[in-house]
Amino acid sequence: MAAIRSLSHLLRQGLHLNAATLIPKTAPICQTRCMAQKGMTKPHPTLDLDALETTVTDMQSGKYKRKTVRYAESDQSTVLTHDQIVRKFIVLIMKGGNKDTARRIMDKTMEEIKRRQVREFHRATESQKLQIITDPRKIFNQAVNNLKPVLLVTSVKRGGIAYQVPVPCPEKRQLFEAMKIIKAALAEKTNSRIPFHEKLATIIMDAAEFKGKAMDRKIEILKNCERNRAYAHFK
Amino acid sequence: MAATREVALLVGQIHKHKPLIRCSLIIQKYCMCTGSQQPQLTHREVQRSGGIVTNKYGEPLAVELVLPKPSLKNYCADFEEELKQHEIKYAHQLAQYKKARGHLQNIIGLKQMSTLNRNRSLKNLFPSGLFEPKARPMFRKPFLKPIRSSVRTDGRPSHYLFYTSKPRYYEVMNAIALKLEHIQRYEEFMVSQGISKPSSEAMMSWADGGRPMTLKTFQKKCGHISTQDYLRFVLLLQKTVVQPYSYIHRDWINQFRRFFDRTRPPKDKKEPKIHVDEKGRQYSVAEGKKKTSLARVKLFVKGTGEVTVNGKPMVAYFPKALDREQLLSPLDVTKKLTTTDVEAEAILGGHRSQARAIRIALSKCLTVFVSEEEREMLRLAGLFKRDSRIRERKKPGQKKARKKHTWKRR
Repeated sequence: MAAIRSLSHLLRQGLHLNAATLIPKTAPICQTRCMAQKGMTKPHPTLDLDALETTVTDMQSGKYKRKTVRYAESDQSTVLTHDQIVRKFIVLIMKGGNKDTARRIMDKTMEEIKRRQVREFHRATESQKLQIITDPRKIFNQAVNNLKPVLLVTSVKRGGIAYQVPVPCPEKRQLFEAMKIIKAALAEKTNSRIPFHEKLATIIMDAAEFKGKAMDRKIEILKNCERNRAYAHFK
Repeated sequence: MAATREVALLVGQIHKHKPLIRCSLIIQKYCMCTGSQQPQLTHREVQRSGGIVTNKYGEPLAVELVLPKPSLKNYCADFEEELKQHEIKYAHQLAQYKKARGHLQNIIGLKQMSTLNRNRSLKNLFPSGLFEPKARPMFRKPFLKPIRSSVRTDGRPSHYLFYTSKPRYYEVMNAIALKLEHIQRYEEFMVSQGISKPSSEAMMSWADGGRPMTLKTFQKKCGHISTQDYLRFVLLLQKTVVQPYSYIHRDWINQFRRFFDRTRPPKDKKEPKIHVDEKGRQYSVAEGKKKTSLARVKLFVKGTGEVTVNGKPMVAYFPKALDREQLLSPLDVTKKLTTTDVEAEAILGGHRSQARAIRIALSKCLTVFVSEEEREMLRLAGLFKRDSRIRERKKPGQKKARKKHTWKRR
């Protein structure tokens, strides 16, 4: 368990290491799941225009290799503001299949982030302006990347006692866990009444800079793993 | 004594199958129905009818059991009679059918009707909510099931494989097997002569790309047989064809095979055609599906970017942005957003699935007007493929399709 031994080292470093450096390559990163649905084994298509246009050049040069793809989902489109990770988050915050509302909230959030960043951009001096990112989708991706936990605890029963055992988190699940942390931070009660999208915007912007409620939650998860280090040999 | 003769005939038909007392009862019933007197049969008639005599009160009695010997003559006569009855029955049914057809045509007001039209009109006249199609009212020409005498005049079955129950099938199989044996013997003979292989020319003439005949055509030849039997036939035929000297019986074997014309060009793929409008505009039409929604799209190559759905502008028909983005994505991939006109029709389903169906139809329409690379781009974007998932039904004893009730021990 090389991952767990280097945990304290990780905490000192700033918590934003990529998981791939920690998890040994021999361990299965994610299990393939068998779905009892049609056409689910094929890869997702991309509707990114730049990525699609590379195929044209490949075909002309003769490099192109034909591959089969799944059907495009109904919320996949060629819109400029489309982002796969944001799309995933929209699905997570959706309630009762009302995707339109979820999307509207997310659009408002993006607008809020953009406004704040642009305001900061105009206040800043010439030298500082270069460092400020104004693309809200980039900030969101950065926040999610920062919140990805490398380790998780799972309960394992040994001799009638459930132990909390730290295990490396698969890469596919890290994304989900990061989004779950954001959701949990959102659910925390605050005294003042703030609109949902503003609250979400602050959480995301804070997480992009390694601070805020969401980041605290992530550190708590990792600390819990550290606390249960003794049981790492289980499983 | 017409009645008696009739009765005698009746009994003659029955006596083979049923015990005599039952015969007498039948005679009684017959007489009651027809109102004729109960027969006073002579001794000869008794013999002929199978030994039925009435007592002095006119009740039929089974006295002398002088059963006529089952002779071939009787059998043949019976068969002829059966055939005659069968034909009479069929003629009656046919007459009824023709009469009814005339009535139906009068009701609808057509002089001639195709079977399809007839079925449609029947559906309107006698609507039925029954689930099983066979149980619904139908109108069909009576079908005469052929009775074939499987017995020769000398009493033996007319076919030598009668007792296999599938005589025509086994006849074919036997014939092929005999040919196979002959071919193999011929090969042995040639080997003994010092010729190990037939000439390549003879072999080549055989490479014609024929296949065994289909199950349907084979069934026409050999009556109704199962797929299992058909497979056995195919195996035997292939084994015969593969033999090096099989060309000696080529013409005979070819009657069980079918051939394709290789020179004919292959059938066109299901691509939409380019049509020309009254105004001289080029357009193509295609259809798309998603869940229960169906969509048909007309794409005009030269236009100004107008998109209408069911006669309304797109923005009015799809107020939600997600639907519109979805719908326009094939045009965006091929960069034809502002240079084409789209007329779409969509029925059934919800707004999301209708937009999805239109999207598929639209990208199909585009294939005619774009280059091969762009078509590949559309394919890679997953815009042709139909999402074949449909709503899964709710199961009894469960909350939803998969969700179960909470489990309780007691």
